[in-house]
Amino acid sequence: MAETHQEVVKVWIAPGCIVCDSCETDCPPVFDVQEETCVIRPEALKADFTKPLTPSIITAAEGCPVDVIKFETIEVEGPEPWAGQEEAAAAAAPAGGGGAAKPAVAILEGPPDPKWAGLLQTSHTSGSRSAGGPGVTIRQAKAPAEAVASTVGRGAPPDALAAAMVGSGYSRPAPSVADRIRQKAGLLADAAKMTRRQFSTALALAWGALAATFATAGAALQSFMVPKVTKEPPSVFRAGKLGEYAEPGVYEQFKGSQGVWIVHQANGEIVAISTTCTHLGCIPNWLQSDQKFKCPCHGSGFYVNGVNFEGPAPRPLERYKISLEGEYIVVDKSTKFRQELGQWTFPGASINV
Amino acid sequence: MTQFIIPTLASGGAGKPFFTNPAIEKIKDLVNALSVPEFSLPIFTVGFILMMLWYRKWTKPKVIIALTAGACVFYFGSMLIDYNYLLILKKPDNVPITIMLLAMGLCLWVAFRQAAINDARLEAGLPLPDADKEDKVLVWPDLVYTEMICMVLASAALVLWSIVLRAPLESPANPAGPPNPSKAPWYFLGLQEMLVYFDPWIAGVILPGLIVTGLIAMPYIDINPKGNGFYTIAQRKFALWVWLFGFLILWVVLIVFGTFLRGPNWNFFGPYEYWDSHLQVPLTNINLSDYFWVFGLGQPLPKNPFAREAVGIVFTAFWCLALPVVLARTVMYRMYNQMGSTRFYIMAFHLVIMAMLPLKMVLRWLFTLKYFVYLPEFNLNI
Repeated sequence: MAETHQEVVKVWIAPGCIVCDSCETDCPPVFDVQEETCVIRPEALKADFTKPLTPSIITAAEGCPVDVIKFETIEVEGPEPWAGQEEAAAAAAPAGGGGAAKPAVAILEGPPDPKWAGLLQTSHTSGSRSAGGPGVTIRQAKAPAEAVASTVGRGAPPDALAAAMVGSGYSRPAPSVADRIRQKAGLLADAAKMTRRQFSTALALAWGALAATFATAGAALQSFMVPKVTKEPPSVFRAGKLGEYAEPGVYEQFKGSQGVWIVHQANGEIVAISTTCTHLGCIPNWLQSDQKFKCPCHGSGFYVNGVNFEGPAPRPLERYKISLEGEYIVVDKSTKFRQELGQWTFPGASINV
Repeated sequence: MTQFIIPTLASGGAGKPFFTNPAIEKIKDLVNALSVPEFSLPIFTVGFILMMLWYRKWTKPKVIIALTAGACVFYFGSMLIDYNYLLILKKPDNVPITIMLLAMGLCLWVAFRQAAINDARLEAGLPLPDADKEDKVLVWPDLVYTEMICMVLASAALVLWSIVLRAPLESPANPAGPPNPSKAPWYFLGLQEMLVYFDPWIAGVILPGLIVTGLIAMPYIDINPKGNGFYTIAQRKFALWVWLFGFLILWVVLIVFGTFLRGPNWNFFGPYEYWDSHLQVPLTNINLSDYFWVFGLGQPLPKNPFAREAVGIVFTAFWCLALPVVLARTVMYRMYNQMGSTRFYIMAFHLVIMAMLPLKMVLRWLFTLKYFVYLPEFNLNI
């Protein structure tokens, strides 16, 4: 049968404190006696903090004249971590020949507190036993916590106090974050072990889910295969009467609505030029003062007849089919004429006036 | 807030610079004249070479503080002497560029400073400064905490930025009147600048694609075991020279050009020049085939497009396919032997394609060359 011991996980003050300072003397890290009552220090509300202080908390509870200090304990396997450490520390001190740890050890060798010594004569049950909690047996341990605390002084920083507590066996250093993570990771790795069949099943499920996802997405893509909007502006439009283009020049009234410049060139031809730049599809501007089309995106420039002459555009602007219906000019955007393919001489690429 | 303060401070609200006198005007004219790509890209390249050669000098804290202070006075102080520059710099679209330049300078300095220290110690036979440190740290808390702090700071900065500067929204889109100049998002302006020199298929698809494949291939073709885990330049000269030239000169500088110096009609303007939308710039470009047949041989272009472009096709084939082999046999034979043929040819192919950009730029500036290969019949122009 494994050895077990009790550790305090919760401590509180019942009503009726007479402010006698006894508990703070016994266990200053936990109890703080104020003007009207005694309170538990905030840091002592955690079980991790109170566990190493189990002996001194019990001492304080036993010493309370009005029995208002209550606590709860749990049973923990293993020997008491604070048992026997003071002997080791005392043995180490003379052998060390006097080191940095000497002041803390020297206190341990001093005469024990009379109250502590008296308590150690017998085993006691805690005050919380009346509340139904398990009884706690304390054993002969070591110097009182108050004595340890006094070695670093009242005003000492908390880490100095903690170091003294550790040195005298009252406290254990908490495992480092890294150690806790490693321990947790080890547990998880053990828990994650699976059989070959389980692995195969999981793998098949995962690939199946992935395939189902892609199949669904692929099916959804079908909806993009047909146009959502079938209403297109008619590709053939009337661009007004021939008489509106009597003067040579660039007519921009269909740039916004149809993407077409009607250009009456100096040689008498009237052509319909696409407003899409042949470089990367921006819409050039007609610069009247410079007599050129100039693209604002990469600086391509085109003469008034649509031929590219500057910038990166690789070929001239395209022309649309243009024809006369009576006195009206009709532009058919479904037919294009490209200069580099020699199509500008085709019938329909221009009309002569 | 800044919309109100800076113009008032700098211009008196009248579109005029805060300070001006004939000497300042002369300096501004000089800077404008030097800022055209023909001059400024070579100047930046020389600066890049000096930066790589003298990295042990300029990374010293005192030197870099002086350099940074001087650059900041020039960069931000210019807002006081020129209204056009002020308009460029305070435009909300361009604020990321200023942030990018500052952040990039800091990162470059951090890397070069450590490289200078490490290289000096390695030369002297000393261990590296952090040789005794553990080479592993925990993801949590070391990395996750840092990331969380960065996330909080970045979020705070973004919130502040969005409060102080208004979103640079423009008027509703109108196909009949595109903005002039029409600019891509700032991080694509290097690509847009490349498009000035190349056909969209090359600058918009092939070159960006090769940038991606080159980045993917990099860990597989760079098998130099030196310099693993610490900053160094002396041990990785070729890799760092090529990479930093491509990144700093052919990407970052082009972004700055596209942001600050490209104005209406995509014309090039100096930093202190008024963006005149009627500026006449002669940009007439000539194809290699015209040079060869018309100017060289004095005869008209052949009718057959492949005969017409034979010179360009031969040159392009040599540049892309034969030049890697020539390099392997001559100046890079040691590298070829170390890397093996597969690694070397992948590297060399990306290298010569990258070198095509400066080559084309120089030829455009010197000879107004338009395309090596001009085959609009097949939508193929190189």
